[in-house]
Amino acid sequence: MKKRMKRILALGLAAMLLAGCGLSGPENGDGGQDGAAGNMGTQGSAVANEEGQTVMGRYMESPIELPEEIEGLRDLRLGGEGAELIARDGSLYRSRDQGQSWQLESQAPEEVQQALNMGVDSYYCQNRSGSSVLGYIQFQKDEDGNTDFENYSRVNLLFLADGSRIPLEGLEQEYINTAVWDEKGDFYLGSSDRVYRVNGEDGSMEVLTELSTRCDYLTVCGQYLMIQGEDLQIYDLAENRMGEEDPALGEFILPWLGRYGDVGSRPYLLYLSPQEEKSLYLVTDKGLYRHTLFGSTVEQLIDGSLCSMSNPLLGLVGVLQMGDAFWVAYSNGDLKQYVYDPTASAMPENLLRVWGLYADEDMERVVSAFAQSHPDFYITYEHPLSEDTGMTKEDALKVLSTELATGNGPDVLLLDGLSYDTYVEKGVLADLTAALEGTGERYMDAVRTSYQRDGGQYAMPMSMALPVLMGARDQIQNVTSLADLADLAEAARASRPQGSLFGFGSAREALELLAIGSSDSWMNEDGGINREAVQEFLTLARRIYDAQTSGITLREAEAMEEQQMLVEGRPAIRTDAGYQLGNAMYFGQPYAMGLVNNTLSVMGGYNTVAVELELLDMALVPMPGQSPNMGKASNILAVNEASKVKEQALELVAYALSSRFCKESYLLGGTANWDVLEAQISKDLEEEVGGYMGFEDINGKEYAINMDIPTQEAMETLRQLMETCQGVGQCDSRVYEAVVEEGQKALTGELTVEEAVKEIEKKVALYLAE
Amino acid sequence: MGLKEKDRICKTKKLEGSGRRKRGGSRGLWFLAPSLLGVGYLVLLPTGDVLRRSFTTALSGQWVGLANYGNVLTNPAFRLAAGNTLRFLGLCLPLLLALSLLLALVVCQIPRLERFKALYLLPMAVPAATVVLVWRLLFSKQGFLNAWMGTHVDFMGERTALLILVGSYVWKNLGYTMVLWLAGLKAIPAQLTEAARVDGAGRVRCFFRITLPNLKGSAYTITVLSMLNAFKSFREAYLVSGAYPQEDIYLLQHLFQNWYTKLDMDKLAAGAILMALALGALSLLLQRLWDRAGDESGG
Amino acid sequence: MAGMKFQTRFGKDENGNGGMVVKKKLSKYLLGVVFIGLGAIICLPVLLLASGSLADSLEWRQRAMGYLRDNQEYITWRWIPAYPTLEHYKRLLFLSPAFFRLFWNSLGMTGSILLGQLVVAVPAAWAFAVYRFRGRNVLFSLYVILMLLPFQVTMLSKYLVLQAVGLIDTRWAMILPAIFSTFPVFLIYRSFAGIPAELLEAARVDGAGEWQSFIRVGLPAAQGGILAAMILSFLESWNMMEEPLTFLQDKSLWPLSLYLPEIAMDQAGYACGASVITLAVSLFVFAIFHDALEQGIITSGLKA
Repeated sequence: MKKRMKRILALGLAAMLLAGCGLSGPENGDGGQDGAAGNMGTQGSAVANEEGQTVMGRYMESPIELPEEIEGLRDLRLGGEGAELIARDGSLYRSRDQGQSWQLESQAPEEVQQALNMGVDSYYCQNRSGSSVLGYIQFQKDEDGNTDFENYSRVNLLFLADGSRIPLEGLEQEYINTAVWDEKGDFYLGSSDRVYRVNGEDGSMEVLTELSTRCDYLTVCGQYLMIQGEDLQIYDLAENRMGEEDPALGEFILPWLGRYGDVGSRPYLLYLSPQEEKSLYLVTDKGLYRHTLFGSTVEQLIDGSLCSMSNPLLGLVGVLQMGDAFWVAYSNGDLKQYVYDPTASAMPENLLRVWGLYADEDMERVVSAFAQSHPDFYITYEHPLSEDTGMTKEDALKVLSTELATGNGPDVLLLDGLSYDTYVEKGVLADLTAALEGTGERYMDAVRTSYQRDGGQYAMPMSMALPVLMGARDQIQNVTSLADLADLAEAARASRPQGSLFGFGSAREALELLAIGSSDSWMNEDGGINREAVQEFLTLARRIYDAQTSGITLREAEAMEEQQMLVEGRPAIRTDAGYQLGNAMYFGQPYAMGLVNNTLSVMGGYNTVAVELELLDMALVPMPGQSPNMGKASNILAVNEASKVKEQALELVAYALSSRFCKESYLLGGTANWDVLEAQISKDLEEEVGGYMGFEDINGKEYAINMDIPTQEAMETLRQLMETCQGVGQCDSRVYEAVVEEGQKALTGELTVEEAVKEIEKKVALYLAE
Repeated sequence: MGLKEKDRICKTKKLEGSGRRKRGGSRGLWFLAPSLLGVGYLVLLPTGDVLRRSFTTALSGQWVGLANYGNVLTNPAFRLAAGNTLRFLGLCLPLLLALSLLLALVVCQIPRLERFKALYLLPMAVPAATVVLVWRLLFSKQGFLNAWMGTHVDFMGERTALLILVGSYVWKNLGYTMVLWLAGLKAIPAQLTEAARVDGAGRVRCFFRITLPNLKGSAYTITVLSMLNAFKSFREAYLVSGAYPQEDIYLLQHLFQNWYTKLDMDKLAAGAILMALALGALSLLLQRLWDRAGDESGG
Repeated sequence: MAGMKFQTRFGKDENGNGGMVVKKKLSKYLLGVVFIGLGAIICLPVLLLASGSLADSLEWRQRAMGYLRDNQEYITWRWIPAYPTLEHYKRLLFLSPAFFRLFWNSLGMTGSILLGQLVVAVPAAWAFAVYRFRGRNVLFSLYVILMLLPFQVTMLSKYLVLQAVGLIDTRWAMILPAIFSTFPVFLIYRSFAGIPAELLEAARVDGAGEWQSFIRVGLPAAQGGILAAMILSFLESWNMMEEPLTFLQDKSLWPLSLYLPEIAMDQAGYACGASVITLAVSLFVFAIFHDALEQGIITSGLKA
């Protein structure tokens, strides 16, 4: 009897579970190959389906020409007479002939144009009748007419079609993130915890709903207002209350929620089709998807990796359905149409695979741009560790080994985190010499030499950064060795008993920061560990660490711990100089150290560092250490010798390293190519863009810095710094990890330096013996 | 008893003459054929390929004779890993076999405990990834064990790592092995022990004289299965401390995996063949023990 | 309470024997308590997971702050979470299509493997147990060694072999090698070997062919052993990790076991939930086939 009960119970439970699965399992599962959640990619069946037949039919991208004067786009929508575009300055353009020609219909009021052109707007939108809402930040001027960056106010305005200006009262304390209009002409404004409704005729306002989380974006989809923040909430405008949830959609867009687009653009778009009942379209960098509102499936119509959608440079502005075609407007001012071509194969026939352990934005851009110029290639960029699969590094390497050993390896390899020499020795990498020399670009010789083995060059990094020490010029200019740095630290502590000196709190952080100038000396020529160097490093690192920790205040220590980034659930340290300088500002430190990217764009790379240095009245010198002037490379490109599309793979590598790519795109990482640096400088001079950067110190005081084109002086400093570079550090990651792991114990006093060195040797011995 | 029966099969066959044997043999192959085909292609062929690779260079495939074997045998990492693997087996197998046998004997004595066996079987179904989470909660520097002792020792980075590995292996496999022993115990005819008891043998004597010899048969299967499960402990060791764990739990599989990621396919192949040879010898040894046990109880 | 009951029952049991020494009774009682106590300890980690799956992410973060930051703070624990929640289960079961796809992949894969093993391994085990053909011992030893060799060593060669027949990146790359694993042959062999010779002989005399003896005599007698092997195979396939990682590039084919192979502590609640569900499926199989498993293990025989 009892046994039977048990069985019935078990069966019942099993049935329940299976029923539960049936409920949401297969429906979601069959919803297209996209792998409903963002973390499930498709690529296995890239070229053909299981029967080996080529699947036909694909949406093909083509540009729609726009008048030259349109520089950027803010909105795309379907009006009564045809498609309508709102340009960056708020002008309205209309096309009555399916995009053949565009006419300027109206222009925004002067104040709006000014704010939008300057890019200080925090939101702007224009409804069908021509009324618009605008919010922007206004800095106050002091008596001399200079901008006072510490004081600013937020302005919120409604403009009617006739040009009359109505200030929106009661929003002074609110930071409005986003605005949207509906067919009745009302506006909705989303703030950190509320949604407001603004009457489009008189500016009267009411709180539509209070939110438990912030609101990043609003979208009107028919009678529903989609409120997007940390999650998706749906407000029913017809019923005037929160509507029901759409779990399938909410789960699907989860990976995109919380991401931000550039000014005026979005990382994803929601769009309710006016033609089909309840059909909601979703555009993301992964592609265009269809979802029936409140339904359970999300189905992919356009694969983003085959068109502009995957370009990480482009923000999304608007989408509309025009007959059978889709139009998508991008933040750079491009308007693309997508027309279904039943005769095109669903996937391009040639596959070119780019592989790296982690995703990198510069590389994504290279892949996207290269794909545009090679429409007959399906180019994939795989980065197993950035996906939400929990694969370990060893697992990823194992899969790579299998593929390489069986001749199925990726065509282009990013060797970051991999052992270059292992792959060179095994002969899996192709010689890049010919491909690089053919381009005529001036690569940094020191970097090239670092990757030469037996006369061949099997890899070349796309990005370079150089380690520097920053502080008052007279104090640091004679600091050239780690011992000098230790003396400097102790002297500084003696004169400044309280307060942080450098940007580290824990022993791990100290080692990782100091290692940027020393790690390359830790190994001998023969690949063994350099005992003396490690011992010296730890001894000196301990002095510096002691100097820092002996005067650090409790408040600082806590703030540092709170700032810690967690990567894969463990603390990680950011070594970039810009971030470290931000830290110096936050804690009022006299020194900072970090890596400077060899780039000169307005908002990134060295320019940030230069502006911060000026603000702090600091200078920089190459990082003192045991292996000075050795740069850190990333995006280390290599080509698989056995690649079936080797020619294109080499072409892609050359393109990634070229000044052409830099001109066509936007570089985040540094460069090991003089021409790229020149190209960047001339590009910066051409494009007159600028912006602000905000800072805060430990007492909560805020600063804003005006970011502009790099100064001649900054350019020259970077050029000089680049000239000091003597190569690329290639400390083996095992050795590095062992030194950091065991070295911590030496710094905290758990072990003596000698003991720690012994432990390190023991740890590495196993690896070297293999 | 079972052994006796099997012997009898052989004996009858012998009496009936070799004709039956031959016919039966070839018929038997029909039953074996599908498995043989699949195993041949999917298991044996790859193993043969490994054997071939053990005589060639890593990727280019040039013949190097026994050079790889020489390299592997003199490789300190291989020696360490082989030694560690042996030590791990030497520690965890006897511990598991003895402990589970003890528990099985207890259950045998007190049949009412049968229903509580399920408690012991539960860990077997816990996936390796989750075992790792439990390890971290218990043995990490900030884990429960440290909290209890008021220390901050990284138990997985010290010599205790081996104990943790052995412990988790025993924890996982105890229930299953116990049930296996129990089956063996139940198969011993009660008359045997009772007869011995009547003859005045004590409990302990009875165990060593009657029970244990009769279990020798089961011991082969149980030992081989336990060994198989011991090799599976690698995944847990690997998930918790990565490719280079504390030196004591650096097993052959760690080394094999590291060679694999470094594309050292030549060393890997030679190491694998050496391991296969060792396993073959071990299994032969166990089989011998088993056969002798059969002879004893049969004769 | 439970102990009391226990004792009285024992008393009843041994009434028949009369005159049992109290000491013996007491020692048995103690042994029983120790046995159950040890069992409970063994189950503790599972309870840990179950309890952990009810704590929300924030609570996990707080509990494991010391671990996450790698400082001196200990991980704290409450058996009953401060704010018990079913959020992880909700997210897994109702909000996460990926989980379900993987779940179905696992189920389909495991089912196919078990079915295949029944068709292939059972007859093979029968052949080894009943027939004395030339090379039988060598072949059987070979099967055992092949079973014991770790996966990594033949991984590359297996990949090549599967690639040669175009199976890489299909479900069959998981299913076929598992079907032809030699493990079930080894295990089932024992239960066939335990069938009394008289029985087979009698069947033969009655005119049963080889096939009929297998179906009519062999299978029923070894039923339990086969089930036992199947349950072990189930656990094996259900928790398979290395094979899919290597042979399946297309992540939409991945099984559940790869869902959270490594678990960051700040996601531990979710991970606990996922593993409790994974575990639950295994437990159904246990519960449904529990008796069979036991009988099976007994026949597999370990009689021989």
